[in-house]
Amino acid sequence: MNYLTKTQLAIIVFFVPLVFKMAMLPSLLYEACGPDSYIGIAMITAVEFLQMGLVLFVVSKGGMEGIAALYGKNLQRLLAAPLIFVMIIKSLVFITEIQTYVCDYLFYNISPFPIICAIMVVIFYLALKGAKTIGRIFELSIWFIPLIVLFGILFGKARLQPEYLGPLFADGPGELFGGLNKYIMYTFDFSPLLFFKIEKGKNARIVIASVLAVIAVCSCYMILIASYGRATFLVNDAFARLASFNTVVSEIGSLDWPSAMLWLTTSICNVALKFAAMAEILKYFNVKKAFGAGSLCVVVGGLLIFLFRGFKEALRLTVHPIRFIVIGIEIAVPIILLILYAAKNRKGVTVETPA
Amino acid sequence: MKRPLKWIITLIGIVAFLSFGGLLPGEPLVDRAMVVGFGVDLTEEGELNVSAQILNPSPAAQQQGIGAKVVTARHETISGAMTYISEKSGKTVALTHCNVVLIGESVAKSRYFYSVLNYLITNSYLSENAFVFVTDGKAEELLKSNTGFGGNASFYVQRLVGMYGDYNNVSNKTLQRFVVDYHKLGQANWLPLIKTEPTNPDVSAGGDQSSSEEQILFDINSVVIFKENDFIAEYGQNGTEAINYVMNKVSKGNVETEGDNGEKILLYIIEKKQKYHYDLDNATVKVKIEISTLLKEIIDYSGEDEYIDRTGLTETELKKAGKDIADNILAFYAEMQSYGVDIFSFYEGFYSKFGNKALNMDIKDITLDVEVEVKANDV
Repeated sequence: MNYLTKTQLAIIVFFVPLVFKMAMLPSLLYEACGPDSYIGIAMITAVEFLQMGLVLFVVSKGGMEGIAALYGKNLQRLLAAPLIFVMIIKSLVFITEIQTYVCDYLFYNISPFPIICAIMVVIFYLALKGAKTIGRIFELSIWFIPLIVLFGILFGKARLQPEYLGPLFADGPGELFGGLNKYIMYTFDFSPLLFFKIEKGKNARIVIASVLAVIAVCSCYMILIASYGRATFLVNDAFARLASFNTVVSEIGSLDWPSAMLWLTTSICNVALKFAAMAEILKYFNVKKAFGAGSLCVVVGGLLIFLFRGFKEALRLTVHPIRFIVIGIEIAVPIILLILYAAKNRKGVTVETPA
Repeated sequence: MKRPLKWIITLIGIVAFLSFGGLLPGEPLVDRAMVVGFGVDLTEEGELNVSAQILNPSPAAQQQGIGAKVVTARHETISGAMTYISEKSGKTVALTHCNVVLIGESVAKSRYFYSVLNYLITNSYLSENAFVFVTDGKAEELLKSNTGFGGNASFYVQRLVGMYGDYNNVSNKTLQRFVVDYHKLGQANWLPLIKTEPTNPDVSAGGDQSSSEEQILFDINSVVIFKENDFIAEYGQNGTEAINYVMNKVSKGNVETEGDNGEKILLYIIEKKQKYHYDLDNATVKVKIEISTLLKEIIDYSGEDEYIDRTGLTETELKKAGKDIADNILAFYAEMQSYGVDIFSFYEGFYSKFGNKALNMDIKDITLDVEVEVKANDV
């Protein structure tokens, strides 16, 4: 149920750092650090893959499951529990983006309540089915990309002004790092992989996927800034705007439907990975998976309906100092796991890793 | 469950959804007012007069054009006026298929031009790829006009832009481009201006005029220049050509020139390229424009026909064609400088290349050096 093939992992590695960086973040980051944002986002995405490498190394040693065998369940629970907090905070931000996309872009004058309910039901189902199902959906979704590229080549019009990409670091790099610091919540999303089993084999596809992800996110930002210039801060959903390829709607219908389907699918699956991981964590506390996943969906759904209404509220959470705790835990847990595994390895103790 | 069975069940589900999806509760299309053209004017009382050209599939007593009706409403806000339009038409106004936005002259010359457009920009249901025009006169009148082609004003103007969008003497701009230019350094902006000219009404098969109502043709060869919210000036074809040659894509259009012996020569543009070079020390921009053309026609009005049986142009004739274009651009730029309008976005170009050193330049100090090379392929 929580087994991922190498191909599925490579596709997840491509989409996970990309999906929410290409929606509302580009306009926010542009407002914070100007045209340098495309350099900054490429840098931070590349750094994220260091965390990914660490996570995958830990998974190859046994992941979070293996810690129980080596150190006992209490330590396993101690290390895993903070990740529930991390994933809930991130889910609140990311689900609000999905809900905003659906309410503001796809539909006309609708209340967020039914959308949140629909999203949570889907996330619950996917979390219950596990990483294998989520990985399979990611695997199928990748076929939208050639369709989008084909539509863009056949029907799209480009109106790019490269002068808007410069000058680089006009006011020094401080503004760039300040902006990245402000929106760091959008980074380091690979911790759910600690709870899944991954097929053994060579990592060439994962390396390729990592490089492509960095190129894709940097290119998206560059194209956006070259298209919208100083008005980039007004573009509240970058991927949706770029996906229309500057075409007039009436001639052949809307070109952006494959992009809408791709983004919706991958964004929901991205969040579902977190819920699947959280359900696994709750199993460590002897909570049944269905009950755990369901409870989490109810809690998060409730918070979204009653507390975090709309993207402005979620944005306050995004830039709140709590973000440092969230990212700190994301980075620290794999490092701690690595140290623990290394310590046992020195003593000649290994974990039976699954085939 | 076996995979083939899963595929079969999925296919059945898709077919069922497509076949019976219409049974799901929702708003039928006939209950939506599909707006294909949108106009905004300013009344003397300071209210906005919003006109929506709505597709009307059912016959109506007063139709303008093919199945379209113009409904107007007044309010202090566009959104409020649209609500009134919904109430009057009994349908929910939908802007998702609106590709034409007409700004009346009264709005274009008001101080809150951008704030009026801001609703259209932030309203994500109006495509940012919709074309925006300023109308010579009232937008409402233009929308209601009995157009000579296209069925109704909105479809007619879309057809003009669709067919002639890349012509050297036709201007068009989308909402997206307008917003981008509004926020650039210097905030110089321009919009195409629609002018009207009357034409003869259609003639029926029997030879009589089928309608005594005058028909209107649109002219979109002119532009209106803005700086931030201020209306600066209106320019005809010369201004449009200057802007298009320097900044926009041109892949069609005519270049007229005079032959060495007074012949009238027409060249057809097939491609245009431009390069910019920014010199901060001398505050100069050098623009090199290369226009590839096909020689189409030579007419000699002298009656001697000596110089027309040829398939090529002389070097001097080509140089003259290029010089005429360059002189037009320079004359237009000089006028823009006098108004302090950075119409060609030179501030952005300098800032992009030189950073903060170029931040406080004055357009009046920036010299433009234009070199236009016209190449003609033989017919």
